[in-house]
Amino acid sequence: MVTMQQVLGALEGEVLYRGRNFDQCEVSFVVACDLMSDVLVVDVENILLVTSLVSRQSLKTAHLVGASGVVIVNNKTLPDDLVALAEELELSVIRTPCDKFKCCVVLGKLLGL
Amino acid sequence: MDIVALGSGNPPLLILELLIRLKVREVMSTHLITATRRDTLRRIQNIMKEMRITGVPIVEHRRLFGLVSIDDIINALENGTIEEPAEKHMSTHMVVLDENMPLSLAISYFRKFSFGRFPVLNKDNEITGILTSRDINVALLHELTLELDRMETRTVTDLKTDDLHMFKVYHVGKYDFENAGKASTDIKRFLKNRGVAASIIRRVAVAAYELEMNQVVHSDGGTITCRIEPAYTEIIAQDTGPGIDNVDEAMKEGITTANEWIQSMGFGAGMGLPNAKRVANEFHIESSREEGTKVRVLIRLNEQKEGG
Repeated sequence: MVTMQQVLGALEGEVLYRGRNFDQCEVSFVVACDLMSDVLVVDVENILLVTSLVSRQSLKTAHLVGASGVVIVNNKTLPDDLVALAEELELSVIRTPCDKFKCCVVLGKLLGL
Repeated sequence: MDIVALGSGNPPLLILELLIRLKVREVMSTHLITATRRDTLRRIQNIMKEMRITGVPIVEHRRLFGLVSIDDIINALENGTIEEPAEKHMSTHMVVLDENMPLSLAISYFRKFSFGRFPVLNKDNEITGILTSRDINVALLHELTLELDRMETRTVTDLKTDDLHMFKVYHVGKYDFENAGKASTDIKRFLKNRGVAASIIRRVAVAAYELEMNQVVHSDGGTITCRIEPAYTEIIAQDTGPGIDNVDEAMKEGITTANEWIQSMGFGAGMGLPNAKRVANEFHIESSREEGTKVRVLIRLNEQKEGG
């Protein structure tokens, strides 16, 4: 189990929206996926969604499965309306310059896999 | 002439969908003002003046022979041929549209050719109408107004809500990705406030979201009716069509009829119905061309699903 703060550090990321409890939020499982239908199939707690799909659906899907946060890879940023949505959903979103593979490798090491 | 600025960035999905859904026959003018081959250009000039139009198709027994445009009239006035019959001077090299073409294709014709109007023919090659850019503008405005009305009336009917019970009907619009997920988010929030276990909330939210997205992606619109009782949550998704041809196929994982732009948004992977079934304690689906599709999902709030 790691915290969002540790995730942020390991990925040399930047916070796009800091949800309440960001510092306490824990991550124990990573779902790296651009197909939101596949995210909805995962049935575990404390998910971190790693995706390159920047859309309302990515944030809503993460929210609905109770994800601890979302990592946007390849340093893509969120348009203003999606930052507003993240705020509405109280969902932490960070971005990282890593591509999806590198991001997964880093998170795998961090989680001790 | 760009009637719709399709070249500039990404047009809204709603507009794209409209342009593909609308057929030329639904947009064209069917009130035809025509002349015959023997009519003089003078007579056609008078028709144009009276009716305030800029082109007259030359038609006999619903068969199209040519088109006299205002340019042809100007030429005739210059050359002193205005008293001659239309057949000698009409344009016979015409581009015509098929009445069943989607509007998107017709718009590309306006761009490709410099004509201000296109005669429209049916499958028997009879003229059934004429399409101008004005017709397209009027039709699009009309359709967009309807669409806006529909969006504004997108409502949630709250039938009964207190601390333990909730009974609401959510209206879901076709291709309304903007609002997709509202019902699921609302249901999730209610259960969370009631202190239901996170793993059960997730199952309810996933079922509601899958059913909601199914309606957005595949149906002509519908409703999500949610009843939350102390012991269970029941979600009924009822749409207005077009129905599922093969329910058994739709229940298989990975089978999808979604198109590319839906998949580009991360949906339409063919997981929706199987996934809703996976998280449910009870699952029932019925579908027909006449009645649309109805899915009922029940999730008990006080027990975990075996293996789930």
